Amino acid sequence: MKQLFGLTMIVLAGFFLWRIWNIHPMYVDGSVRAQIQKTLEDVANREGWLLSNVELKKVSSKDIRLIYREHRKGKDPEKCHVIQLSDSSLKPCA
Amino acid sequence: MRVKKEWVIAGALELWALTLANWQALGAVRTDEAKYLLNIPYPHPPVMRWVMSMTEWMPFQEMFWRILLASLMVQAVWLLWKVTKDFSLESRIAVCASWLLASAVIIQAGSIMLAPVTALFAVLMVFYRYRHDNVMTKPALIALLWTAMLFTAYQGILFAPLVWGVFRRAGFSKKDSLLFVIAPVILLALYSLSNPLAIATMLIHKNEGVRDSLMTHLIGAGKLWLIGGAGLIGLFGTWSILRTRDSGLILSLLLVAAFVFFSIPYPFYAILFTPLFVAGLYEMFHRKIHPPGFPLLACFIASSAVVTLLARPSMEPNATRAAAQALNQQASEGIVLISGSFGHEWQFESHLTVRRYTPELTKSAQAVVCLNPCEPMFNTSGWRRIEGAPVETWVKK
Repeated sequence: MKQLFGLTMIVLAGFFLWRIWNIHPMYVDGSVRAQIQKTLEDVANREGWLLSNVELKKVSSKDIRLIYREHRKGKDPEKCHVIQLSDSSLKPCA
Repeated sequence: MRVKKEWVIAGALELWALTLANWQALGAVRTDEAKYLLNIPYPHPPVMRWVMSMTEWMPFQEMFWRILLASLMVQAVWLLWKVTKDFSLESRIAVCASWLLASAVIIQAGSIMLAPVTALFAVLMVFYRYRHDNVMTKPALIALLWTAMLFTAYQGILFAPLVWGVFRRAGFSKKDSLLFVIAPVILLALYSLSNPLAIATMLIHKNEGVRDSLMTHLIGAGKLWLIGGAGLIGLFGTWSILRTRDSGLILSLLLVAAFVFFSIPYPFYAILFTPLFVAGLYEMFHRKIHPPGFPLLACFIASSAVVTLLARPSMEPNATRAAAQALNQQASEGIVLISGSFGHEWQFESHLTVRRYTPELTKSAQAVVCLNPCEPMFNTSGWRRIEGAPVETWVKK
């Protein structure tokens, strides 16, 4: 059982570290972080998005890849989007 | 056929749980409850809200969770019954009753919030604190339960000293105890970094309440202490914890107190005190430094009645359920735009997908709700206002 606990910790830590790596630019670069925040707010205001429905998947200095999941009772419709930080333009993920 | 008295008592407790669940249901689904029922990913970690969202297919999802959580809260008394098996009947009843009589338990059981779930985990840790044999034979299970507790709500971390005490009292070395307690905390930190919305929420709220005066903070924390233990239970529980000089109990009590002092004193935080007060009462009766059990119980009952009556929340539902029902009758799919400040209960109650109002989006929307005046107002030709709806609601003709 101790090994199971240790294995669970390691597997979950690995998963979270992978997710952190995908969004790490927003932690290491303050200007990227500020730009992401502004871009998300602009897009949310334009599209009527609720920020609590946004799940960041990958971040770079040029764009953000995210899932917009419309939380509701039953199945949640979700769409993958890529937002360019330069002009806040939105397009579906490739 | 003779029915075992425990079943009769459990049945009576279950009726009490059903009463509490139905009382909570009068208020309809609140915004925080909707967050957990729909697995909306902030501010808390995912375990409990993911479990709740697995039942979204149920038309009676809300009542299911109210009844389940109320039942777990009330029937948790059997854990205390078990750990007090060496006490006299009088002492045993007093300790167990302290849990059921705590105003926070009465007020919170049946609500779909995570603070009561954290309190339930804490009661489980109190159980393991006094049942070393269970801990010695399955430490990894306890550690996984601790992980689940942390990944249910961030407030779980306030009980880290209590959990540390569980492993140390069972005879585990400092190194092993540290591993079992700290590894899940590190994991929680990694989860938080992988979910920036949780961190952003904490940063947004970190300054709330800071501007209030010291007296406001003291009064707020004091009220929660009072509700957490229905007055006398908290008094005896706190006194006893301080007497024990047990670092696990004292540190956890201090952490909970500091948490409610420095944050906005939401009423649902009161229940975080309750498991600690119950542990304090256990210590008091275990060391036989207590007043006579039955007279003390009578005082607990009176104190609980007064505090619960004074602290009971309003169960007046907000207008969301009625407004959403009026809307759902007119439109069953599409987008509803909402103008003004609104809670997540709209996402729970509405059959339509919820978005924030901007006039440009009205072309693709099926309905518009103006909680504040819709500004700028959209062109209402081609729209019909729902008569009799509690809020201004428009649907496309």
